[in-house]
Formats: sequence, structure tokens, C-alpha cells
Amino acid sequence: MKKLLLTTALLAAAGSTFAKDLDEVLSCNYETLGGYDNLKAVESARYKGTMTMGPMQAPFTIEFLRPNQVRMEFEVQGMTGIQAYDGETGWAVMPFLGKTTAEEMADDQLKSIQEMAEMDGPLVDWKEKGHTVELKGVEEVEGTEAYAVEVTRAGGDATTMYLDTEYCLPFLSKGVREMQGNETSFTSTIGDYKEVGDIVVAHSMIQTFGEGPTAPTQAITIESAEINTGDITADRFAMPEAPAAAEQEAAE
Amino acid sequence: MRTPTIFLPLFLLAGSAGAAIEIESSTFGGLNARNIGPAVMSGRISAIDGHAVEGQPNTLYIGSASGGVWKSKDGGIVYLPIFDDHTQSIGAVKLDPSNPDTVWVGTGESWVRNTVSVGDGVYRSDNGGDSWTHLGLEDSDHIPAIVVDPNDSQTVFVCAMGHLWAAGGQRGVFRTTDGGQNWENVLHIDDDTSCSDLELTPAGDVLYAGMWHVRRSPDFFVSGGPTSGLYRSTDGGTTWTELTEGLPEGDKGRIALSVAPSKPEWVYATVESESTALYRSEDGGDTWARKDDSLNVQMRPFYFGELKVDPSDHLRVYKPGFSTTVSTDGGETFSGMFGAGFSISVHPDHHALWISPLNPQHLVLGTDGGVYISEDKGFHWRHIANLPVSQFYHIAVDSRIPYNVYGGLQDNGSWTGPSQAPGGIQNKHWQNIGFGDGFWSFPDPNDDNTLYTEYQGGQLMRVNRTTLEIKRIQPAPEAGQGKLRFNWNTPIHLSPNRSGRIYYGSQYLHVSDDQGESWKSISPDLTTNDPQGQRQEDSGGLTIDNSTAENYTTIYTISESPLDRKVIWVGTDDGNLQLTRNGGRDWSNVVANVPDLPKGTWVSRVEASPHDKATAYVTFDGHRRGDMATYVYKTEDFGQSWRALMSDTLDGYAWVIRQDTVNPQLLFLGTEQGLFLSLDDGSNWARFSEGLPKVAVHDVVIHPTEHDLVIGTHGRGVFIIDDITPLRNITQETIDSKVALLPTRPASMQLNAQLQEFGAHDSYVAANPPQSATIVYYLQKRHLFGDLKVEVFGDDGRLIATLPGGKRKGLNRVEWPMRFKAPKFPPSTSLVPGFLGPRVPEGDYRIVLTKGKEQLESTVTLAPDPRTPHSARDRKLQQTLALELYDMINDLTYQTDNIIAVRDAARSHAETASDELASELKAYADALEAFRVSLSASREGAAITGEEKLRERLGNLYGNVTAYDGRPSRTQLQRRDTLREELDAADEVASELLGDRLAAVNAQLAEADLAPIEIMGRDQWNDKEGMFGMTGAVGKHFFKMVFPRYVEGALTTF
Repeated sequence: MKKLLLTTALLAAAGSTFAKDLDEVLSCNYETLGGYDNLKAVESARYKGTMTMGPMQAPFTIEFLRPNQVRMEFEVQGMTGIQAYDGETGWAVMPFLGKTTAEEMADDQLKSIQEMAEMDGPLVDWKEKGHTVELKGVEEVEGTEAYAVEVTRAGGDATTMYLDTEYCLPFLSKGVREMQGNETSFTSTIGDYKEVGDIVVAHSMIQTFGEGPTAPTQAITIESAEINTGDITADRFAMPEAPAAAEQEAAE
Repeated sequence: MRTPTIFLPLFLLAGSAGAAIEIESSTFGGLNARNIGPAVMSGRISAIDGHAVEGQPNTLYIGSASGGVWKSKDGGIVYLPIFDDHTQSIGAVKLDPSNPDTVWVGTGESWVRNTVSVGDGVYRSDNGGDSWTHLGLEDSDHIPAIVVDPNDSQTVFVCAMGHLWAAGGQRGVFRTTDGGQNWENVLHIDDDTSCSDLELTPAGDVLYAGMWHVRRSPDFFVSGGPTSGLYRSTDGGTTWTELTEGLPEGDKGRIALSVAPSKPEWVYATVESESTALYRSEDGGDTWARKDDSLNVQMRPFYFGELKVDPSDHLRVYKPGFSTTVSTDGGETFSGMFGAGFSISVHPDHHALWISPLNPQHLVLGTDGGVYISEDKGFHWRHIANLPVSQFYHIAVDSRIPYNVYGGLQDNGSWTGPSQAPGGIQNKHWQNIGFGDGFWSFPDPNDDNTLYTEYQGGQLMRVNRTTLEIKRIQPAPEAGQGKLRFNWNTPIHLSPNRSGRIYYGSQYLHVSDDQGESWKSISPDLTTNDPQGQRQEDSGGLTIDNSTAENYTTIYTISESPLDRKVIWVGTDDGNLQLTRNGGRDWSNVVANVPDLPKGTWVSRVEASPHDKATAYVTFDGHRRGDMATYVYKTEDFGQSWRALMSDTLDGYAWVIRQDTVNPQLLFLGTEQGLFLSLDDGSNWARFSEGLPKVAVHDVVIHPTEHDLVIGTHGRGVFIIDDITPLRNITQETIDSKVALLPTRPASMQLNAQLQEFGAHDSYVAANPPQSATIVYYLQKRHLFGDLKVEVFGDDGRLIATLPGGKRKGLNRVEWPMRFKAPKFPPSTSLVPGFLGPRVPEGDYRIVLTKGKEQLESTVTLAPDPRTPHSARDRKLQQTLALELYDMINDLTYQTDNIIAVRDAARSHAETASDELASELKAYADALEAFRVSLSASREGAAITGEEKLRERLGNLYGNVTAYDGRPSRTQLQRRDTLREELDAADEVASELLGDRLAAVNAQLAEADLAPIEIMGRDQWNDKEGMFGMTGAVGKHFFKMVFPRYVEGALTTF
């Protein structure tokens, strides 16, 4: 048991709020999250929880498998929607309007699920992933002093992640994504960090898409998290043959 | 910024100021202000620039007079504000011709009308407006133009006016050669002469500058003087020569300039003089010839200083003015683009014009009523009705549900619109209730159909809301009074004590008790009546401009004590603060008791306290004499002594102060630079900025029953902070707590109201308040570790909802939609209207806030919509039926889930069983599947199969019943009975399939040494799905309201 992990990491991070360079901010971030080695030791993960969109809620499950596979399922009115990526192909099943077969994702959706498939987030091994990461400075964001870290992906999509200066944990991200040749903005509030095995995982994300007073907001709350369970295998992520998706409810 | 000096006796300080509550902007956290527009009339536009690329939509940057900078990336369909954190008054917007992502903004509008705001210098963005750097020239106050050297992006010239209301400031032409790090004042005449316009040739080799003697005073305006002139530089701004050949001799006023892009030696200028006209040079400014002097060229040069030559036709010249006229003969003659007179088809008063260099048919015009776009050189125009830069002077609210907001606007009359509307507040919801420049407007508290509005200079009107008939009701001079002097922005005040009593202020205080049919003066002249302050009839300088904008020595603010109708405060524009304590018989000017206040400072607002009749708050505004400091004071002894409430946090000259009607320590202060709050009666202040740009706040109103703060801005419309109950309850103890729950108003369970409506991206739709109960808590710092959630419990202890909590420092608002979880449906191929759970009954609910290991408890109260036409009994019937259907759906799902699980287990066993058993198991599974398919739609298709089974029938009925809060129809009740029978029948089949038939299958499995197939019990299913029976024995809390005898009777008899 690693019950002391979080406390230890916090003690290590706290009190070291002197001006840092990017490497120091990232080291501090890895340290709080459980340490680089422990992060990389996670081979698979399964998070279950609830998505909230205004008055609607839906249960979801997200599964990850290293290096870059992801599958998200969510249930609405007894039907299960799936979005998945096996490292090459992104696909989705959206049975809600009567179409129960898997479909390959368009490029914009693919880009989005590829980001989701980054198990450790964009900061860990950013160079190897082809991102550019830059420390833009220290800003006060929503009343909290933060390192502004800008992540630019190979395609040019940029996200500014705000990491608190005490623990170097991301608590807010803002960015734009190119969709169909146009830019769409988003804001994510990240929080409720908790220990899961040897690492620390954010259990809450509240996302707003677009701008303006009527921009939709979606909250994701993780209620149970497991890592390295051994039962998450590559076949979960491969796009099924057309008829195989017909028995959606079997997934329940 | 002014540092307050307080020399008050200690006992007074101890007695007056409450315990300090130290706050900062982040204290208010996520308690955001909600903009309700309006965009329908938009507001004054002061500057436009754009970027055109072949084959792509134009990018537009719109600078508004007091509502910041807006950007459209799609050629003018959607506009987003990009300058909200900075001064909202915009003088110039200019793109770097070499790099269109570099945007220069000069703050401080240059159309210097009486109500013009003030800027704080120059800003640059290098990323198309995503972020801005302030680059100095803070003292330039107003910036008419910026030009960027096309050969060197680091070299930029700024045309600066300096102080408008006083001498000095940064005036003339400034040059930077290092991108704005350093500035050099390369053209400066004297401390009274401003730059009025600046042009650079397309090659970047010649600069032209208009220099302008201009000054405003509260009662007077001067445009023109001997130091005005037209200058040229041919060495990059280092040296300048005045151009005179062919230009008028004698005093000149405002000069506007335009170089013909297609023939840069042709330069046009409008030159204000004794005989204002357009001038043209064909030799790069060496000599000029007088051309057209039609009315639109001559009118109000200080306000209409825009001139544009077509990018490809040097003979085509546009003159935006009262209207826009165009010349096609190089300025010899101009003709109207909009017809003549006042009956033009677009809003008059045109200030900015952008012509696409790629397509000169495409024009973008900025007016006092927003932006217009033409695709045919100005023959036809489209109004942009989604730019909410409306400029309110004052606002009021009514007591309707939902309540309406009323207000008057710069050059856009008076309007009323709702605080919320089905689907959001749109342009169509706003109603025009006045004209001209609107100021104060109110509904009559006794007669909702009667509205009081006014236009400039004391033109008071009574409007019939239904017929829109108008009766002029302004007071006339009584015997011996002489001419009445009404301010541009004349105060109307409704008595808070005597319903129906109206006050109106000239130099006298007038009162009417009969809706303005008759008036009585209850004061002598309350102003200084200084003849030196009554020069408005000669105002304007070279061009007389007596629009009532300079009316002075008038009453500007009135406040009757809500606690004593005989206590009336009056403030005047020339600095008198008058008080009567006997209903107007005697008046005393108490302004001399106000410490550290320059004599004669305009009283911008006096506010009698709603808590104590000896107490009042007052703001003063010296900006019209060049004093930009914030002045705010409080008296607790009828004005005998005053406590200064200023702090370094405050910014901008003050417009309005309000004391909260519930918590006397809570103050709201509106200044030219935003909204400030104090929780300790003015000792500590913090800017309120969540959702509210740094915009001039001219008025704030506290809604008496909704407890909203309604904010009237001059530049960004109306904002509402929904429910300020949490603010009223913040104490120092709250601030000192790591986490604290705060009370909120009872939540109204609003009637469902939404019809089908399709808009588009150019439709303006403002957000409604959340249709939710709100839980508010304070966090001392951002929450990072562990759970942060809000749980809602019924009084039987059952968990009804778990809500993700906000994490930010300060206040967090969590919305609970006041519903049970949605029912769980069986799988199907069809969606039904069952996404939402049924509404919970009204009443009190226990709230548990969990932050890590800490838990706090509170209560939220849910109340029926006060408008509800449904009796409590009918609402209960609806809830009863909804919950019964909810349970029926869950019953079906429970059975279906078991059928699916058993089916799959049978199929799974069949894979390993003997042929005979496998065959039996498959047959059993097929029977289960056939039964399942008989209950739920299974046909595949793209959305519309029309297939309906029991699941869909139940879902549709559930959706219809939950969407209406009143008595269900008899048909719906009968339908419930029919579906109940179907469900019972299905239950029988399921019991057989999962009972005897499963037992038989399990016996065969046992014989084959295979594990038995088990079904899930209902309790186990409920736990798994987080469900509980609403109408069964388990739902005790709700059972007591379900089917009491009379309800059952009603269900069967009506």
C-alpha cells in the first residue's frame, strides 16, 4: 500500500514555489503525480463515472492501454455509445438513432480521440510525442497563481495548461482546435486529484466547448479508477466488423 | 488615483464602519454576471479595420465607443469581444499591413461628444487579438488614428488628443520605431491642441496630420482656434510643415483626411472653419482646392470626422456624417446614399467606414446604432443585430415574473426587455418605448401599462405600453421661475413611499402626484445658478452645437429616503448637495461638509439609505473638469459630516452607489472603469469582473423580490448577477474558512416554456438564469485534492442527486436541476423523450458538500413558480403520474436486463454444452430474445423507423406527462392504465420465462454439471442502478404524497 504517496509528494512539492524553468515545473508535476517511473509503469487503466450535461447524466467507462489505445463507452436510455482508438484507427458506435454498426471517425474526431489516448497527458515525454511545450510565465488565473504552460501539437493546435505553483498540477486548460478548417475553443477545469495505486489521477473535468453565453458544458466525474487490472486487452480497442456491433446491449 | 485622507473622530469611525471584511476580485469566484444584451439597437461604433484575402471571408475588427473591440473571422456573421480586460472606449483600430495578426488599438474614442469616455493609451496584439500588451501613452486620453509603416512594422504613428476637459496630456503625433516600447512626440503644437486625424500614403513616404484646437467644459464646447492646421511630413515624421495653400485662412477646427490609395498624390480633407468644406489636393498637399460644402459635409465636424476614398477609384469619396454621402466626381459634389432628411433607412450618425481593398463594393459602416454592411457600394445595407454594445444611462426593473428591465440609451431611445425568456433573451423580446437619447425610464408602480421615459434636455413623456401613444408631460415654468434648465440627462425619481409620486429636476425640484398631468415645484433654484455656467447656447466653437448636451447648472440626481418621505436629497451638476427634511419647505446645501472634494464637483448620484433615514451615500464626478478621481462618501447625520469611502482599489470616475436593501454593509459602486463591491460599508473594495468587462457602469438596481443585481452599462448593455443572497452573507468568518456554504434564495420551479425555434449564428441570444436550485459555497483556495461534490438528499435520507462541484477560489455556484435521476430504459434502437428525471416535489432538501474529508450541510428550498396556473392538487396529480410511469419504466428495464443476462448466459452455456442441451439452451435464449424484442424497438434505421413497443409507448407517455406541470389529461391517465395492463402481461410472461422455465433450464444445467443461471433481485438491481421505487413501499418519503384518497378519486372521476 502506498497510502503515504500523496502526502509525501505534496510535502516534496510544497514550499518550493521559487521561480522555475520548464524542466523544473515538469519535474515538480511528475513528482506530484507519483513520479515519472510510476506514471510510465501504468500499462492500462479503467475509469468509471458519470457525465453530466445540464439536467442530463450518463454513466461512462474509459479504458486505456499503453501505448496509445483508448475506449470510452457511455450509456443513454439503455443504449451504449462507444468511441475508441487502437493506435491507428479511430471508430465509434452511436446507436441512439438506430445505427448500431461501428463507423470510422472523420479526421477532426480522430484528432480529438488521439489526444484522449495520451495516457500520461501531453506533458510527459512531450518531445518524443512531437509536441512543443513552452513555459509562458506565471499568471494569476481565477485567483490562483499558476504556471502557464503552452502545449502545441504537431498539427498546430495549441493548449495553455495552468499548473498551480504550489503542486504543479494542471487545474485549467484553454485552447483552440482546428475543426473543418475553423478554430473552436474550449476550456477545461481539472481537479479532484486522488491516489490510484502508485499514481495520482484527476477525478473531475468540467469542459466548455466554444464561446458565448450558451456554450455547452459537460462535467466528467470519475467514481472508480483502477490501473493495471490485466483484463484490458488490445481486442477492446480494435474496430469491430460490421455485424459484430449489433448486440450492443451485450456490453452491459 | 486618489488616496483618501480621513480625519474623522475616532468614535465616529468606530460607530460608522462595520468590522472590516477583506475581499479581492477572486472572492466572488464563479458568481458571474450574465449579459442580457440587448443587441437589437446595438450602440455607437467608433473605429473599424479589416483584412481581406482572396477566396476567404473578411476578418473584421470593430472598435466601439465604450464597448471594447469585437472580432469577426467569418466576414461579419459572428462577433466575439477580444478586449474585455481593458478600457472599453476605443478610438482607433489598425492592422499592420505587413502582418494582419498584429493589431494596434488606440483607446479613448475621438468622437468627443459630451458623454465620451476616456482611454488609457495604446495596445498591441501579435496574435489577432487573443492577448494584448499595453504600450504606454496613458495620458493621450483619446486616439483618433494610428498608422503603421508598410515598410517597417516597428514604426508606428499615433494621433493623440490629450486631455479633452483640460489642458495638457499627451498631444499631437507620437512615433515609435521599436514596436511601441518607446515613443517620441514628433508633432506637438501646444497644450491645448490635439491631433484629429493622421494618414500615411500606401508607400509609407508621406504623413498628413490634422491638428485641432478643442476643449470641453461642463457647459461649453469649443472646436476651432488659431493653432489648428493641416501638417505634412516627408521624412518619416521627423519634421513637419503646415500646409496652407488653398486652405481657409483664419481659425480652423477639426480636420479629417483621406489619401486616395489608387492615386496617393490625391488627398482629401474636410476642414472645419467659418465655412466648413471638403478640400482636395492633387499634388500631395502642396496646394488645395475647395470643393463640396453640402450640409452633410458641414454638419458637426467634431462628431463626424471620418472620410474615406474608394481603394481603387480616386474620384469616389465617402463622407460618413449625420448620414453617409458619396461623391463620384472627386469631391465636387456629394449625394445621399440613404435619401434625404431624417427618414433614412439606417441609423444616423456615422463614424467609421471600412472598404474592402479587394472588393470596393463591400462596405462596413459604424454608426450610433451599430454596424451595417453593404455589398453594393452602399445602396443597400444589412444591420448587424448581434453586437451588444448598447449604451445605457440608467435602468429600472418592474415586478412582473419574470421581471423586465427598462432603460434609456445614447441615441437609441428607451427600451424594455425581459430578464429571461423561453429559449433565451433575443432581440425580438425588446420593446422600444421612447426615442432620441433615452435616459431614465420607469413603469408606473400603480399602473403597469404606463411608462415614464424621456429624451435629452428634459423631454419627459408618458407612454402607453400597449398602444405606444405618447403624452408629453414635462413641467413648465411656474410664475416667476424663468426658463427651466434641464440637464441632458434629466433625473426622474419615483417616490419609494408614496406610490405614484414622480419627481423631475430642472434647477427646481418638481413633483407630480397625477402621472405628470400637473406639477408643483417644491424647491427654490437648488443650483449655483452661475451665469458663467450657462453658455450652452453659444457652445460649439466654429460650428454652433447647442443640442442640450451642455445644459448646466441643473439638478442631476434625486433621492427620497425610503424611510421618510419628507427627507429628500438632490445633487446638482455644478456641485450642490441639497437636503430637505420637511418635504421641500427648507433646503440646506451640505456639500461644504464633504471633506477633500474640489468645489463645484458634479454630484453624479445621491442615494438615501434604505436602512437609516439620516444616512446617505453620494458619488461625485469631476471628469468634466479633468479630474478623473473616484469620489464616494457616506453620511450618517443628514450630511453634517461625511466619511470618505475611497481606496486605492477603486478606478474611474464614479457614476452610482447603491447600498444593499438587506445587508447595510454591502455596497455596489459603478464607475467609468467597472463595478466595485464592498462588504464592510466601504472600508475594503474589490472589482467585480466575473463575466463583466471593464466597462462603464452607469447604474445598478437591486431587484426587491428576486434579489438580483441588475447592472446598466454604457457600452455593453445590461448584466444581471442572479441572486446576491450569498454576497449578503459573506462575513470575515467566511473569508477565514477553508470552505463555507452560503445561503441562496428559494429556487422557483419554473413552468416549462419552450417552443420550436430555429436561429442562426447571427441571432443574438442571451442566456437565461439557470433553471435550477443553486448551491453556493466559498473556497479559500482552489480545490485540488480529493472529492469536491454536492449531494442532495430527500427527507427520508435517500440520495437524490450527486453534482460535480466547482473548484475555484472564492464563490462557486453549483446547479441542481431539481429532478430525480432519469429513469433507466431497456436497450432499444430508438430514443424516447425520457432524458430527464421527474421533478422532485417542492420543499426543503438537505445538501451535503464534501470537500476531501470535510463535509458541510445546508438546506435548499424549492418553491412552485409563482405564476403557476396549476393548483397544488393538480401539480401533485402530475407528479404522482410521472413517478408512477417512472417506476413502470424501471420495472420494464429490470425485467429486460434479467432477460438479456439470462439469454446471454444460456448462449454462453450452449457453447460448451452437449448438442441436445445446447439446442435446448439456444431455443430458450431465442425465446427470451423474441420476448425482449416484443417489448422494445429493435428495427435498425436512420433515426425514423416509427417502431413503437411497450418501451417506446411508456417513454413517450412519460415524456409528455413530465413536460407539463399541471393536471394530466384523462387520455394520459387512461393510457397509463392501458400500459399498466401491457406491463402486467409482460411481467407474467417474464415470470414464466425467468421462473418455471429458468428453473427447468437450471435443472438441466445441474445435470450437466454446469453452473445455474441466476437472475438479479430487484433490490440488487436498484442498488446497481442507483434507483429506488417512487411509488412502492421503498419510497416512503414520496409515498406519503402518492395517491392519497382524494387524488385517487380525482384520477378516476375527472
